[in-house]
Amino acid sequence: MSRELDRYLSRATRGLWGKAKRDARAELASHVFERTRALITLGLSESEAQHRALRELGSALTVSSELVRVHTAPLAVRSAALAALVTLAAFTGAATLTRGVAQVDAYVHNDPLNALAFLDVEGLRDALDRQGATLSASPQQVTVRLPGGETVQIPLPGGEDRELELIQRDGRAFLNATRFVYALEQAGLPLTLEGWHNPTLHVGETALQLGSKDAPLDAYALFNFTLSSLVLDLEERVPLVAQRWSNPGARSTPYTLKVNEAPGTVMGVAVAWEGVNFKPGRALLFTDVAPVAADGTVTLKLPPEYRNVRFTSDLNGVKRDIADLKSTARPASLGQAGQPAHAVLLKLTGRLGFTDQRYTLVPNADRLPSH
Amino acid sequence: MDANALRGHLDLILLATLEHAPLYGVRIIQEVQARTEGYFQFKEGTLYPALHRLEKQGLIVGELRPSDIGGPPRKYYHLSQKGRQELTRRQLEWQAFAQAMQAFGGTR
Repeated sequence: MSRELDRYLSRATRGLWGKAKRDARAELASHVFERTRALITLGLSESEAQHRALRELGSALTVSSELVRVHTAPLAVRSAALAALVTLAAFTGAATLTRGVAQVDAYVHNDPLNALAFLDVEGLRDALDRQGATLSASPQQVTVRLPGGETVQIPLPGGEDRELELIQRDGRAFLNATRFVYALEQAGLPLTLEGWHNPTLHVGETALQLGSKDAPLDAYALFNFTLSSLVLDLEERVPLVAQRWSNPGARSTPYTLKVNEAPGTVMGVAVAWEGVNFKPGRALLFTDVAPVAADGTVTLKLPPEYRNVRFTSDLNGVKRDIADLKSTARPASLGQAGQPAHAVLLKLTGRLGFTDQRYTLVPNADRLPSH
Repeated sequence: MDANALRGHLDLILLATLEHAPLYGVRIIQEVQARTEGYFQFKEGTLYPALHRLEKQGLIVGELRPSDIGGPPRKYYHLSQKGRQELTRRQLEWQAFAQAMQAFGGTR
């Protein structure tokens, strides 16, 4: 295999894993082989033919971002589509602002179907500009060029999906915050998220404060997004459902835990869940994230019916619950009397990317009565 | 062809292309171009994510078969029962839409 082809296939399948990655790579390799043969019969040399076959396939970054969107991102989009009205929770003592960091206004779209956080594109452009990076936008995509020379493209879909990525409000354009972070991640950049209110996103040496005093953003969606690697670690393909978007009535069972972590540290929880309407064989991974309060406690919310929960630092308990849900033919009584749900408590590091550790499992936390 | 217009109809085009026989990526592209006389020219890289999406939705099924020109195995896609129903539904929907649009097409 030529270096050009190998590099293309690696870039085009970046962000996929396991079988999905192997299959997509083999399929694209087969495509290039077929097209190269056909072009050779038209009189092109082998290297010209392959070069043209790759050009026809289009940008590897676009292919990878579309493939990843199909294989992983729809989970996020689906939970967003089920999303309930967002009321930004007011947590205190959680902000960790970095001085001198450029601020970007945020907009939280309060449509019950699309409770998403967005970033002001002009603000983002100015903030990046001050950090030596540039942002350009066309109807098809947003392109970010970082000081190190890396280029990140964020394709913008047409049709109804477009509103999930880019919206217009009061004459300003806003870009989906998670999508922005996701694109940076796909480009293989080192990313760290810090703080809860108007969090700071570190992209290598570049630091951006997402949200501002007048147009604030809490880091719920972004920290929840960092939990997507749990699905990999559980080795179970289950859709993630974030608590905030899980049920329109905003009902849930809160658990308050005393943890040995500094105020502002962001904690997460994950449990297997069958969802609102029972469907045989379906298992979801219900998650919630919140910062540790000044008194060292954190309140995490679980599904409304979960009154019997065992907190554990062992992913196997969650795996078993998922397997049980997948094999049951009737609505389960998980999380209710007699069948405790296993919940893993996580400390989120704020690190994103495919190699960095995004969380650590937290053993034993004292549970305080909260319901 | 405007990319957005194509996107809106991509699923129907792909499902209809697979209606009569299983096909693999390169052949799907050729078939679409032949059937629309070159009207639809899509970036080929967008084909595979679309096929994978339809596969995940259970509308088409992929299957590896050896290549007859000595290359890597090809992934052939065929319609599932659900895909066939979805194709019929979309075709009816499209026909109704096209019929309604005739009134504005200036051909009467």
